[in-house]
Amino acid sequence: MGPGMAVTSMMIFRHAALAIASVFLLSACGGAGMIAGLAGNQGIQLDSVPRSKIEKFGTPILRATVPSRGLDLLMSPRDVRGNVVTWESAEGITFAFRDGVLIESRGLGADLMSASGPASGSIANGATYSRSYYFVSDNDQNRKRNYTCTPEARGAETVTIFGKNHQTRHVAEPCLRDVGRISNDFWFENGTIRKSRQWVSPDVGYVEFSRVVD
Amino acid sequence: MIGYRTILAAACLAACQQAATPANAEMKTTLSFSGVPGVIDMPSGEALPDGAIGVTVGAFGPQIRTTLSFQITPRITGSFRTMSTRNWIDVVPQPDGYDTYIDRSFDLRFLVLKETTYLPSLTVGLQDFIGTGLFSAEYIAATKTFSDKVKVTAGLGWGRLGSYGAIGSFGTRPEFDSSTVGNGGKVSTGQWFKGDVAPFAGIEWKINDRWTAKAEYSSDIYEVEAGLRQTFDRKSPFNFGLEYQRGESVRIGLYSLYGSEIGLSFNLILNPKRRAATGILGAAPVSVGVRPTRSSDPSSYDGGWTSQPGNADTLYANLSKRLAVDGMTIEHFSYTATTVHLRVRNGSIDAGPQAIGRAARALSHVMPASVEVFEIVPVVRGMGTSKVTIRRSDLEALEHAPGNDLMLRDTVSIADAGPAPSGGLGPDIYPKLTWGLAPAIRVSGPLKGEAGLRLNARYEIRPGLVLSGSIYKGFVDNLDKYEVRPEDISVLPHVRSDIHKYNVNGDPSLDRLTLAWYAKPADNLYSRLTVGYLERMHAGVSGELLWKPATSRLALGVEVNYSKQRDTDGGLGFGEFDYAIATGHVSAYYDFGKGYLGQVDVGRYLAGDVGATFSFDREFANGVKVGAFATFTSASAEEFGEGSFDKGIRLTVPMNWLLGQPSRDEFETTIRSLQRDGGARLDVDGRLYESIRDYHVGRLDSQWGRVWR
Repeated sequence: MGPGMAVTSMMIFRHAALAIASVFLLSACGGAGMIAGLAGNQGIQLDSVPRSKIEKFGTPILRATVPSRGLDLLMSPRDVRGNVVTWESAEGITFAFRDGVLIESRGLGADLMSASGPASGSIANGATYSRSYYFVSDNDQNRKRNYTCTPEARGAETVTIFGKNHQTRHVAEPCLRDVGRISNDFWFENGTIRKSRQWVSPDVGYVEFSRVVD
Repeated sequence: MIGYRTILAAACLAACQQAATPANAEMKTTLSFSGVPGVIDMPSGEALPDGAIGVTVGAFGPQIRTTLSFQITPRITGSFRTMSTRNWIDVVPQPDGYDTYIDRSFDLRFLVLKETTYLPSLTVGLQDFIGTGLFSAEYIAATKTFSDKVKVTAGLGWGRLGSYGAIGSFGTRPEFDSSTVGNGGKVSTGQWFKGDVAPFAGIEWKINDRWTAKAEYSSDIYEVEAGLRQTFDRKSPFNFGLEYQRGESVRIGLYSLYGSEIGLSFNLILNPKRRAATGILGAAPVSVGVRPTRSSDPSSYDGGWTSQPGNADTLYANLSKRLAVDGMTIEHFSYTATTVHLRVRNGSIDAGPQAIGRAARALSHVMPASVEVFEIVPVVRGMGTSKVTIRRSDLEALEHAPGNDLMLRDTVSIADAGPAPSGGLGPDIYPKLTWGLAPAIRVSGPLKGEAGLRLNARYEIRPGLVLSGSIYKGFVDNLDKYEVRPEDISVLPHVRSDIHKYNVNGDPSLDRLTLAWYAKPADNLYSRLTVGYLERMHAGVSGELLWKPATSRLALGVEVNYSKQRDTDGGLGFGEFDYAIATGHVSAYYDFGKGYLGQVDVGRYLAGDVGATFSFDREFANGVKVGAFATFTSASAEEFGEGSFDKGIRLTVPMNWLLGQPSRDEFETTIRSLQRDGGARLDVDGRLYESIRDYHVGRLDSQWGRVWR
């Protein structure tokens, strides 16, 4: 999404439309899919949906896949606050990104409540920086984990999203702390993040995001 | 509070939790036949994870033991057990005897040492320390794990656990007289660690993540069950078993016991800190509203909007609509150019901070830009519980800041609700009728009870004035199997012990029909007056006054009641009993922090006995609460009957913990060793302390991490 993207009442209308369309698109798997997904079923088969149908929504689309929850979601932008963009699914799940880097999730249970992290430029440049994650842990308490991350370039890769090829540069972002390690992955296309795999919390694990429609 | 939720809770406790949690490589603490950390029939030196709840059903030969254990603190474990033994009178008949002997017992264990690389874990335990004494024992047990595969336990037992293969003696232990089972209920400290001492030992081998093999040498001779009463044949001290672990919580075992019997056990270990439903679900909140720039909308900044006619109604309507999304309704709404005061009722969000956060977000969208201060007062039963003051600019600035929950808490003030500002707009939801029909159970005794339907209705006439009632109709029961033993007939007024008559005769029954008036007569002071059919067995009037500052750990209360005992037919009459009594208590409540809550009530109880009740609860931030209580009154142990005094365990599980979706419903249950007439209090609905506490500092702070949820 471009920096100048306006969030207007039109967007709210589009979002409602998307919600309805999702139900149609996914047949009986829309709202029910989330519940089935939480029970551990892979309810939704988004891969079989043609790109043309997704483009018909007329709004930017982000696909979010949460393996630990059995969720495969199509999301549209809900609002923009400075450099923070919040995307929402028809089920009411949201992800917020600061400059393409995940800082919040809502609706996954053990959510990422807030986070500090690098700008996408720092990831692409390969400098060392620190990250803090604040996530919902046992007994509903927010826990903080600090990591030191040093991104590593993995070279050029072609990423295919709903039948469309993107020439990207893959950057892995291993992050360490004294007693553990996580690793995020980013695929940059001309400096913006086309695809990523980002960590949410110990319980939720990683979520994969791909920008389907800009 | 028991109904369809009970069924849901039972089904979900088993199914939900294990789906959520990953496998664990280390050797877990497993539970014995008696439901305490142990091998097969012998205890071990370990403890459960802090806060864990264990439920065990074990059966072999003539015995069935059902145990509820709770890891009260990281070192203290408490257990409550019901043990039934069949064929009790086959060999030794008793006049007015009962074929199945049912006994209840409490255990307490203390973990002295936690296992280290070189040292074993070490536990000192008291078994059946306030029961009838048939099961009484004391022990010291040590357990060491080797390479996450093998666990070895060795211990010394006294009492029952010192009855076979004694190696020495510590003085003489007062004899347990097996021919007459006493009332129990006495803490027999004089008996502890006295008499014969015998060693016991066990070994566990974890074959893989699912299967564990166990073997042990038991120091329990089963003197009464196998010796005197010959309910089974104890041929050998050796026990063997194989256990199967399913998921994180469920374990099933098959055993060979005492060389003659096959045993089966089922146990469930739940961690209340982990929600069964994987976490807090429900839709994401809306973003914080953005104020227009001063140049684009100067009139929203100058305060002139406050004097424009119709604005108040429009703001009210907009706010109402936004709050409704989260199940909240307006009780009062007033504002100046800079401050908005919202009194709001939260119908569905289980955590106060989440409701407050969502109300603040709603205000940020609705209120014109000049309003900088949000005063949010959560209202319960018409009473303002506390006033949470949030600055709008903090809300805007911190929305996406890392660690924003604690940063916001630093800028927020929490104080007494105070009176609502004069003027403003009131609620538009009264009078309000809500009702529900749900499955319900009623219990007369162990495994004796009935199932039916309960109709609850609630008519709120105006804020704080509530007419409510509850009707029960049974469908299936096994009440004919209930025996009233002659020794069970109470010498005290039958204020509780005629429950069986109430269950048999009262079908259908009007369990409750009351008019309750709640108010806040002064700062930090709350009041309740309830009149009518207060509960199944008693009707009358109940008044309560509670002092509780929003930021205080201490609360003080006084309750005064006058009640008459109702007929057993569940109708409106009072002809059957000629019993009326004034009762009352002064109460002190204290929040020790970290979820530990204490309560002392001193006063007069329903049977006219005078005394005090001590309660202790551990409450998790997610609302799961486990507690125990004991009441000591002027009713003597003989007057009280079996158990000697009233005591029990109580458990609260929020529906939200089970299902994840927003709900303020809870499943509550109290398990008493025996409900008798001594130490009984009126069961009045809607007592003040629990009503308001959710929005006071202790509780708000324990859940504050959800303010941005």
